[in-house]
Amino acid sequence: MPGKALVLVFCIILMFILTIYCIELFIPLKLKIDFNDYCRQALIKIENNGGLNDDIKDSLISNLNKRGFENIQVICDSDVKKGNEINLKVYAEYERKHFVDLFKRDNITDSYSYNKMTISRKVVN
Amino acid sequence: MKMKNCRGYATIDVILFTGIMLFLIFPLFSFTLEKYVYQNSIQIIKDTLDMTAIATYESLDANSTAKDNIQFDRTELINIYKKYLAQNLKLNDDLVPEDGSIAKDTVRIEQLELFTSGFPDICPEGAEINKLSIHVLVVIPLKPNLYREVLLDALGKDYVELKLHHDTELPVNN
Repeated sequence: MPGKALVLVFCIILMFILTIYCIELFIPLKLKIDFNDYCRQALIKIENNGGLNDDIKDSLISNLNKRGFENIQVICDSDVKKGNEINLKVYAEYERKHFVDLFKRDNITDSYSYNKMTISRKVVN
Repeated sequence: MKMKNCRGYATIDVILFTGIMLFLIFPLFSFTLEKYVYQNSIQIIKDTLDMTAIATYESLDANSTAKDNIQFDRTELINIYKKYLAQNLKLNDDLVPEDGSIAKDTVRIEQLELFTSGFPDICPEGAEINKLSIHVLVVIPLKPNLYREVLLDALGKDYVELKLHHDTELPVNN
């Protein structure tokens, strides 16, 4: 009977680890959705503003920082003439714990990037 | 005899555990993950279509934007849309994907229309349009992962074609 209990416990632990491993696969996907969402909001503001200003940049970095992103780089022209191209490039890293082996967890760093282009809006009316 | 029974039970436990993992937990996660990745891809493409649509603002005749009937250059509209769709989805000028693109084969723009007047109007896909908007229907071949890839391989296909209808309002008077 102790042998049976041992096997059962081992199976339960293994199932638990594999379940956690599977659930953790969703984390980078959710982070990518959030990352894209923040960058998209920033690009809409930049497009409307005609370039990246300090407020938009600080707000984007602050939002990404709150979400846990680190080493954030935001690249975009600050003064884009209406009708010219706007290219927003954002790079960030996210460090998280992940199973690297069956019974071993370690820190891994994921990289995220956003690179989208649009045209600064014309002055109308 | 008792020892043999214990070993027998343990074997059944291991077989049962393996069965649960292989036929229940892994397929369930695979299905959910695949669906999540697919939804994520659709969201990325929709965002790209939005950004690309905003770029078409350049094709509007600036002098007419204050009037009821806004004029635009259709050739310029198509050219701008294709150019920025290509740049935002990492495609070449012929809309063939480059390295790192979400698309797996040539992207097709099946419908591209700008609604400038006569609101409320109905787009070709049946959605109501109440303001200056751009209507697009693009076909983007996507490569599935995990179980769908296996299914597609079995069917002899390389990718699934995502037909995406998207209407984007273009802001005026702000």
